[in-house]
Amino acid sequence: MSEPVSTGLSATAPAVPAERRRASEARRRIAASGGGVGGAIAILVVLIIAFSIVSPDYLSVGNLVNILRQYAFVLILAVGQTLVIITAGIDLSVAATAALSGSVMGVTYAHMGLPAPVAIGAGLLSGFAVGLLNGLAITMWKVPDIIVTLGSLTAVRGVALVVTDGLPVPDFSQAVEGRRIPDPVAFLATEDIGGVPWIIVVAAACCVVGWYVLNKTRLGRSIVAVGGNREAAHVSGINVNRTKVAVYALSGLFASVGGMMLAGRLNSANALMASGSELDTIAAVVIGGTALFGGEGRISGTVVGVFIMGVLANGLNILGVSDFWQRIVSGAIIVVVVAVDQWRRRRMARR
Amino acid sequence: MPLLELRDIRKSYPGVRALAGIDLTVEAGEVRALLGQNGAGKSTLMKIIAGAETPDSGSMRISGEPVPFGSPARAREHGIGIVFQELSLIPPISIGENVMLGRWVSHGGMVDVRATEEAAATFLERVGLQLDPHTRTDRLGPAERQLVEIAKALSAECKVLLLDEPTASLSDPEARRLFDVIRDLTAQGVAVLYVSHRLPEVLEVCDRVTVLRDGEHVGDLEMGEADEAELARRMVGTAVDFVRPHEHTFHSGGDVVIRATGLGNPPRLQPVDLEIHAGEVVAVFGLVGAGRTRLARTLFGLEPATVGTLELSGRPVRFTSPQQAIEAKVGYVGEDRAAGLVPRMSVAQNIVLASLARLGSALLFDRRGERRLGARYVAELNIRTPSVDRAVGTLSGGNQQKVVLARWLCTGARFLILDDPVRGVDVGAKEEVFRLVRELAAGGAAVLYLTSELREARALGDRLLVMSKGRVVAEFPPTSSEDEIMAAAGGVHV
Repeated sequence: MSEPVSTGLSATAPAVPAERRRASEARRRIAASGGGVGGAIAILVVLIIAFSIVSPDYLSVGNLVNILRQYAFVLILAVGQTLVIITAGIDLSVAATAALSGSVMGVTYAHMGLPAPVAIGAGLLSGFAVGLLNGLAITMWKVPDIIVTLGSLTAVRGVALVVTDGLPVPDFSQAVEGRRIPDPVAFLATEDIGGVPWIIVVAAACCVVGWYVLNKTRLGRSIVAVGGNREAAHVSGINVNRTKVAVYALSGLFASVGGMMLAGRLNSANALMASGSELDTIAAVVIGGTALFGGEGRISGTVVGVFIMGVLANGLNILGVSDFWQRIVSGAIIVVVVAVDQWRRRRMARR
Repeated sequence: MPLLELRDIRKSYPGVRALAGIDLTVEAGEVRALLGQNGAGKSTLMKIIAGAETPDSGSMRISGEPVPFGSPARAREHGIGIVFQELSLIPPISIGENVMLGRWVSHGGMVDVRATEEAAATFLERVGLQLDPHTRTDRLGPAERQLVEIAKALSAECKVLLLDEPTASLSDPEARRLFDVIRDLTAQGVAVLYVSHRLPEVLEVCDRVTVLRDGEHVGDLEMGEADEAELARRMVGTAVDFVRPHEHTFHSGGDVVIRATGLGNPPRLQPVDLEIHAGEVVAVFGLVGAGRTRLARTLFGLEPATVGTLELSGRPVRFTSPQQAIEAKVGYVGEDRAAGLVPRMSVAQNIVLASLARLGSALLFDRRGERRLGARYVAELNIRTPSVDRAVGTLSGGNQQKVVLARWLCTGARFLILDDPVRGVDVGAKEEVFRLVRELAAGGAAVLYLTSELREARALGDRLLVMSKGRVVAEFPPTSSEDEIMAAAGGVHV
């Protein structure tokens, strides 16, 4: 090879034909905008097709609606989790917070006899307060996110146990006659509208709110910037601490909505409900292509991530796979999905 | 047969050509200096030899035997040892264990710590370190740690030792001791590849010099045939053509934009008096560790000022966070480009990052306005990107730095703090950034340009302040000679 050695700045690549450049530009933009979601969607489609082949009953509107109904709770929590993870944080306390909010709502309504709006307000407020405290501890005491929320994961369950006396709500001896769950909540959690459960509508509304915050507001820009490069956000005048507090408060708020919906579905609340669900939300977010180290993620990805988990559990159920094996498969799938995603990203980066 | 032989090593990063076909042969027992400015390609070449980076093309042989690229383990097996600037010792374990890291003496899977430390003793001796191998590593000073690093390389039977700026954190006597060790090692047949930009020590310790400039091999010199001036000329080459005699476009009639009176944070930053007029560029020259960056960060509210006052356009201000500085129309470009940008965000998003409040309301961000502003500054600053939506991390260094500058044009900053903004930027882009700085000043901005490159300081500054050991020690007109300024900075001229 006796290519003449170029000097100075002329070391740029030889001219690429315009249309090829445009094509590669388009490909890059697709990759940059929705690559992660694309990969997850592909896996979702493969799963659905595979289950439909094995079990003809699988692919029915009824079954898909059923999956969504069951996983609406996880989705609502996962919306907040997505925002948190994009800032390079993590919220391990979402499930505990949901249990607390459901319990607070149940106790204030059924035991204390307060009006439904007050009980719902108290539920929302409790979730918001947990999120706010998480955010403040992380930013003011400079304790890593995972430690703070690991602490509140346990402590918040404790608060919920105190609130409920460790008993399911409503409890016979304490309940006001005829009261269980506030009507609006029970209605949204259990009724349908034209064949679509209201709880799916609620989850969808949460997704829209999360998407709006992330893509249409100044806070959303700050969230992406803080997760993408905290230092750069700081020198650009973005209030990093306020952004983090806001995100945890939002996560707490979404968790409280989820918790009340769950209580509605169970027609009862208790301090230990949804144990372990925080891990489901994290898995869904990561499967949906959100970078665990922040700076990149989409609500649509999380929706697909939740769907994958739901489809998988439901499909294995229909096939009669035992719960023991379901756990093994579900766990493995999480790792495989992310491994495939990483492999795809590396390949894209090489181009 | 040469001990180390590199052929036609080429390496490019997106937008930057780091190495353009480097040939290098080093004989056993030789100390070879690798000399070049920031961004000349020294570190990239070292990383390639050590297996930490894979070149785009080229080959490497040790004693005639080909060595595969891209694997630190294989490089080590072939006898390549490297001591990086950031030392790679594990602080809480003993120096003996550090030397033998990964090659512990063990019996049936059980590490025999005592035997391991004993085995390390011979290597510690070879580098002249008279310490018990059982000593905890975090008790050692930087010079001793450096020697432990070298002992570690030797324990892996290294034949070629790479030293990257080994004296950066050493005092003079410590450096001298290191040179003695290097001589001992070469007498034992080890070849040393020595990266530095301190010319006197290169002249003292090295046998031959290889000069790199902008990724190209511009020549080898025998030590006898070169003096400092010659080496400096080779290193800098024609790249300093931008240093044309300063045109005194500035007439000190403009309003005072920024006035600092006794501003500081002793003892780290001694009180500084500073006055910059609209349209003026004040250059601050200081060697590494002189306190330049601290001054820049203090003026921008990134570090607190514990004494003194600051006025902007006659109004007293006190910055405890960058937000306040930005509101007061101050802009800041830090020395670490990576710390200023969000790589995965688009060019437009990065440009408006400090102007979010101007775009729409809190509840509805104006994305169209964002792209419009982005496009405007991409055109104005001639930022080379296929689109404003491209992730900024994919741009070349020079264009990334222009994006950071655009951010402050976008906020309408009247006072710009530029801390070594062209470090690691290729020559052409450098000139563009310089032209931009001049244009900004011509447009009425006050500019504080901090740098460790004297030529930049002289080329850009209407006035030149010299910093040393955390204080401003002298002021010069840009026409002063380099020697004068260098003497004030208390450093060795590169």
